Amino acid sequence: MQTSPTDFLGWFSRYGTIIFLLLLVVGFSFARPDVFATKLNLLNVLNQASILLIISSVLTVCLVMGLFDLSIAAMATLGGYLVCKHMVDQGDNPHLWLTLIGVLLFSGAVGVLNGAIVSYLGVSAFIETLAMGSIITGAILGYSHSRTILGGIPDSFLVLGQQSTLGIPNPVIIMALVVFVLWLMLEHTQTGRNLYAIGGNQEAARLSGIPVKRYALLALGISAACAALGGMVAAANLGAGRPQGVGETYLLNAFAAVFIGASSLRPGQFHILGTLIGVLMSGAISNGLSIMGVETYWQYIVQGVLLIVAMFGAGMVVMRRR
Amino acid sequence: MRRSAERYKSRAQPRASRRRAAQLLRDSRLVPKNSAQEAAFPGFSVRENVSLLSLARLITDPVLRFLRRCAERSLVSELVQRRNVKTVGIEAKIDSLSGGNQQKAILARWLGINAKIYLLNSPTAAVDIGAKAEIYRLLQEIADSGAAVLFTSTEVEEFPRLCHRVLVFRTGKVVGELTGSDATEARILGLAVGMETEKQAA
Repeated sequence: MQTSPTDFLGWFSRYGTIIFLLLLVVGFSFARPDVFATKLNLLNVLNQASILLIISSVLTVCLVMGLFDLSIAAMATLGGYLVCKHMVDQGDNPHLWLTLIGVLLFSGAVGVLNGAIVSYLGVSAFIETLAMGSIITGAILGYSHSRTILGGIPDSFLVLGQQSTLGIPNPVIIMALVVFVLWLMLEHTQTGRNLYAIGGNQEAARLSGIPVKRYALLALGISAACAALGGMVAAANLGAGRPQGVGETYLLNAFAAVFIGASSLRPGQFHILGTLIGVLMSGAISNGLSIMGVETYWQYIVQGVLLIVAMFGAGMVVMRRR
Repeated sequence: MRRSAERYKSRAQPRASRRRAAQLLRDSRLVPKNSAQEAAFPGFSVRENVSLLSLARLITDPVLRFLRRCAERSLVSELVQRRNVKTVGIEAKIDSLSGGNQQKAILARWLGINAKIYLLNSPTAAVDIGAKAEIYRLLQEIADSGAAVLFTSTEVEEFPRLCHRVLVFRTGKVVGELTGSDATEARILGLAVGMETEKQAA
C-alpha cells in the first residue's frame, strides 16, 4: 500500500467515524468522568438513541434497495397512536399482544401499498412516500380529532417504554432485537443479498431474474411495520398517544445517521453496522454536549458539520474507485 | 425471465405447443451484454457478483433463506478458477477487474446454474483477444455439456468457428440461414451487406 493523500482519505473515511466516536466517548469521559462515563448515563444514551436507531435501521433497509421512505415518520406516529387508542378503547382487560400485532400488520399493509404504488404505478418512492406520509398524518388527525390520549393507557403497554429488564431499559432491548433481525436479513440471507443487488444495479438485477418489483413491496412493508414499532416504543416512553409529530422529530436525524453510516467501514454502501455507528455518534454528541453545558444549538451545528465531513470522505473513496 | 414466458404465448398456437414454448423459456437463461448497465454490480465483490444466481442452492431453508457462506465461497472459488478469471481474490471488487475478466466472472455467474438453453447477448463485445478465446472455449463447453447456446455477435469470424447454424440479420430482418460448412465468413458477410440473397444461399 503506498501512502498518498487519497489513500489517507480512504482510510480516514472508512474508520474515521469509528475513531471519532471513540474520541468523543473518551473525551467526554475525561471531561466529566463523574457524569458521562457512568453506567446509568451510557444506558441513558442508548435509551434515548433506541427509537432513532429503530427508525434509522428500517431506513437503511429501504436505502439499500435504493428507495427513499419518507413515510416512516408518519408511520411511527400512526403506530404509537393506534396502539394507545385501541388499548384505551378495550377498557379493563386489553389484549396487549393482539393489539401490537394488529397495528404492526396494519402498518405493514400500508407499507406494502406504498410498495405497490411505487412498483406498479411507477411513482418515484421519494415522492410517493412523501405523499403517503401526508395522507397518514391527515388521517390520524381526523381519526383522533387532534386529541392526544393521555389517561387510561394500561401499564402493560407503558412497560415497553419505561421499565427495565435485568437492568437494561426495555426500549434498548427492543431496539437490539430489531437491529439484530434486520442485520441478519441484510447480511446473511438471500433476501438481503437481492436487496443489495437491486440497489447496486437495478437493471442487472432484473436481467438476473430477481423480481425487483416485489422486493419494493417487501422493503417498504418491513420499513413501515418497524417504523410503527419505533412509534409504539416512543408512545410507551412518552406515556401518551400523540396524533402528530412523534416520528417527525426522528426523520432527519435518521437520514443523517444512515448517511454517516454509509460513509464508514464500507464507503458508498448502506449497512446496519454503519447506521448503528451513526446513531451512537449522534447520541453521544447530544448527550455529551448537554452534559458539558453547551447550548443546544451547537448540537445541530456539530451534527451538520459532521455529516458533511463524513459524506466528503466517502465521496472521495467512491471517486477514487472509478 | 420466467414470467415473461406468458407474454410469448400466441393465440394461434395450439395449447400443447404453447406449453412447450413456455417450458423452453423456463429452461433458458439470458446472459445480458457485458456492460455496467446490464450485468455487473459495481462496488460489490467478485464473490457477490458471481454467486448471485446460485444463491437459491446456497440457502439453509426456503423460508428464512440464510446463506451458507462457506459453501458460497467454495462455489465461487471453483467457478472463478474454472473460468480462469484473473483477480486478486474473490473478495476483490468487480470494478477492479479488466473488461474481459469482468465478462468471464459474469459468465461464471450464469454457469453456476445449469440451464438447458443459454441466450447470450454479444458475449465477446468489448473484450480483449485472450478473453475472447476463453469465452469461445466456454461456449463450446456449455454446448458439449448438452445445453443449447444461442448468441449474437457482430464479429463474423466467430460464427464459422463456433456455430452449427447461423441466422444473418440485415436492417432488423433475418435475411438468410446458413448451416454447417455453408456458414463461411464470406457468405455471412455477403448476406449481411446484401451482396447475396437468400435464394442464392439456398
